[in-house]
Amino acid sequence: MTEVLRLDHVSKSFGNKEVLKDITFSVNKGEIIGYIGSNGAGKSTTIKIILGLVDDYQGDVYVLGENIRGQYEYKRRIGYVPEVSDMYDNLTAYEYLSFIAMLYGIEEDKAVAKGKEMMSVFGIEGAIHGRIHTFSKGMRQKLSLVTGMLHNPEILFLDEPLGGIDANSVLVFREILKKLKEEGKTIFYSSHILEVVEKLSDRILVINEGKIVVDGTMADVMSKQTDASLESIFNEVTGFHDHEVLAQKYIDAFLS
Amino acid sequence: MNDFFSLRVLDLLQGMFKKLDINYEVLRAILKTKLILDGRRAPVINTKEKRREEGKTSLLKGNLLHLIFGVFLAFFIYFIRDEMIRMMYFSGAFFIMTTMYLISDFSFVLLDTSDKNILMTKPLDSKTVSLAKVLHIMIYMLRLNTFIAGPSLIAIVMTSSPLTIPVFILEIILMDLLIFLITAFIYLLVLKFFNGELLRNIINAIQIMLTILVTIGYQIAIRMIDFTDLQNISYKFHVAHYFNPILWFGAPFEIMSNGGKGYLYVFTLLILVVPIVSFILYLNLSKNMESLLLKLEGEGKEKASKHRIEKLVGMLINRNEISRQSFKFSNAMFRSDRNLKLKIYPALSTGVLLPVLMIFNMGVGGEIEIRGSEYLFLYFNLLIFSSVYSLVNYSSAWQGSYVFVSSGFRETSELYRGLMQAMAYRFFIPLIILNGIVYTIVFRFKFLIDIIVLLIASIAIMPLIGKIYLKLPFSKPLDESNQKDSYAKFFLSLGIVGLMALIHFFFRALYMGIWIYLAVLILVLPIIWKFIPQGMK
Repeated sequence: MTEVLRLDHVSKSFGNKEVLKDITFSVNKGEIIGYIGSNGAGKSTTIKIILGLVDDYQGDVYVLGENIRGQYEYKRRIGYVPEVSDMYDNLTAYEYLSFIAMLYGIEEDKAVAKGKEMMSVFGIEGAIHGRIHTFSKGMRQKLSLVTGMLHNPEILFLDEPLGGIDANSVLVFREILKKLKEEGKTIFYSSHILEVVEKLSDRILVINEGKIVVDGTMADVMSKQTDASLESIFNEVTGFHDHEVLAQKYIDAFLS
Repeated sequence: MNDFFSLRVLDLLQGMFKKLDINYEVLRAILKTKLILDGRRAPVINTKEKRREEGKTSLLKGNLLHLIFGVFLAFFIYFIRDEMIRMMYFSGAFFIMTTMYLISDFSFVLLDTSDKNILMTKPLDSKTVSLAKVLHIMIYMLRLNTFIAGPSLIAIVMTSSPLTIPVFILEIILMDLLIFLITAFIYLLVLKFFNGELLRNIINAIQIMLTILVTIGYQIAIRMIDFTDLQNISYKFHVAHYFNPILWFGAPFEIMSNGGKGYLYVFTLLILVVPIVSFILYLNLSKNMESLLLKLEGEGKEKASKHRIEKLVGMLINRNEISRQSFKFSNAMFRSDRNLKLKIYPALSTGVLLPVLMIFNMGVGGEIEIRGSEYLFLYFNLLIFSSVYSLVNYSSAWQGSYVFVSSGFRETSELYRGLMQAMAYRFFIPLIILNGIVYTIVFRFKFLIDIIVLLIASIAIMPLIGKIYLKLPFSKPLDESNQKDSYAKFFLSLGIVGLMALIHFFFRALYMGIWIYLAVLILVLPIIWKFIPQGMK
């Protein structure tokens, strides 16, 4: 197995708040990793460190065998789809695709043709000459999926990538991820929506309050529980059992 | 995509960039995209212009206001003979205008955090990205300089030796650098010690000030400056001037035309040293800026302020819970919607200006002669109301107005009552009081009773004008507010205001008439506020 990603004792604080606490894990080529945790658990910070968006962290991060501190060339081999994509909203999708292609050093015509083809899979190729600020949330996210994969990355980092996307496109996207795995691509899928992660991942990493509390294959993780659902495992490891109490509190407020 | 002249100029320097290990192709691609986006961005201060389409606005049209200001500045250069004084006026005005434009128009470049997420997730070295940012700002400033300082350069050519041209151009570049650095340092300080929300509010306040300055500033400035006087002023040195950069920039010109004195050489040295030292300091601190900018990433949180006076006023004037809530809600919207403020305050500033201009015009060529009817100018204030009324139908957060519909809300009369109370509290009463202060300064207490009458009259007619203009408040996109309301509405409100002025004039002519009128207004006011809003849907 070829290791393509390794985090070695990574910690990160914002002010007095320690967001990541001595995180260590590695990912092999061709794996689909489900990286799950509650809101604020440290998922996005982990990905931002790997992408080089946050640099004052402790520990080491290796991507495709290279320590990424101070490096940027490795980004040519990784792709990123964030939960909310920052884009230049006053560009058309066509112009934005051309721009992204230029940043990756891909020939413009080829990239735009490829982008248009990928957009057609999600049914938005007709909007290629529309300004991005006119796009719906789902359309933006679909464009973000396309631009994140335009350069044929070896590792794909997905941070809640399916927000606002319609059910049919979610099905298509799940199939795409499976086929990418067959092509030997590695997928690091961060989400708090357990159902999608459960259906896709070979391996689960659970982060809770900045610490990795579960690391294992789906089969391993499931076999340790009597109630074999990812949801129950997640509740167990994050120590969350108050859902009924909180729901009742909400209803009481609602009816008052 | 179009190609830009500035990029073609930059192409000539690509060999140098490559030697500096800069990825020129990427640098060019980023700059090209930024320039396209600049062309499509709605300008901050040209409030009449809608969002630009496809960057078709011509260079001259987009910079017409800058050019007018530039011509205005050139007058100083042309008329004033003392080298120090003329450059003092020039650099003072240049500093103020360029800083305000930079902050208003370009803060988003200095403070952009989305850029980081778009660009730094790609295989780009930070050196190329930072250089692109600096060059983007430089291209903007160069464009601004061409129009603001260009006419002055022509005036220099007409009045001085050609040798002064390169000195003038070099000074402009150094002033730009200093302006950029001062702005960046201010941002750095605010972000270091306060939160991003304060910085956003400061930028908004400067945008409003600039809009007001551009809308009405020329009117005042032209009337206030006596060009014949300016020709005879001469500069006198004081040690404190070493700390005033505005005064440094005349020194090289003074040396060239009249020979040097010790302090002139120090000024010249300061022109060179201060920007360069500041730039080195900035390079060291800019790393810090990146992490401070993270403060801007989170959505702004308004400080849990108590707004005690506002609450008290709301309680005192409202017995109805809905109108009280509407008063509170409208005040919160007026406080927080920065883009709406950017439209309302300049409109109000015109209200302050019109009566003042009338007084100025009366005084042209000598002492102000009081005719006794000057209070009528204050009715221009009431005309301004109509533009504010029209604007409160719009908001940046217009999409939130769905709650009025989805909740099946019916008590619109109370909603409008609270809204109009907030408008009176926040805009109209302060506007009239401000004008009242100006009138009291100019005319002493001669028109005090008229100002009180006007204040009550203005509150009394609010529901009438509201009935003409108001639709569901904050319910339409602000971009659409440039579409003019119908002339019929304007003439109707003009008629109401004209009638009020006429009634005022009539009662004033009667013995004790003004007091009778005031009493009538006080009696009628609650009746109008009770019944008129009832018909508003």
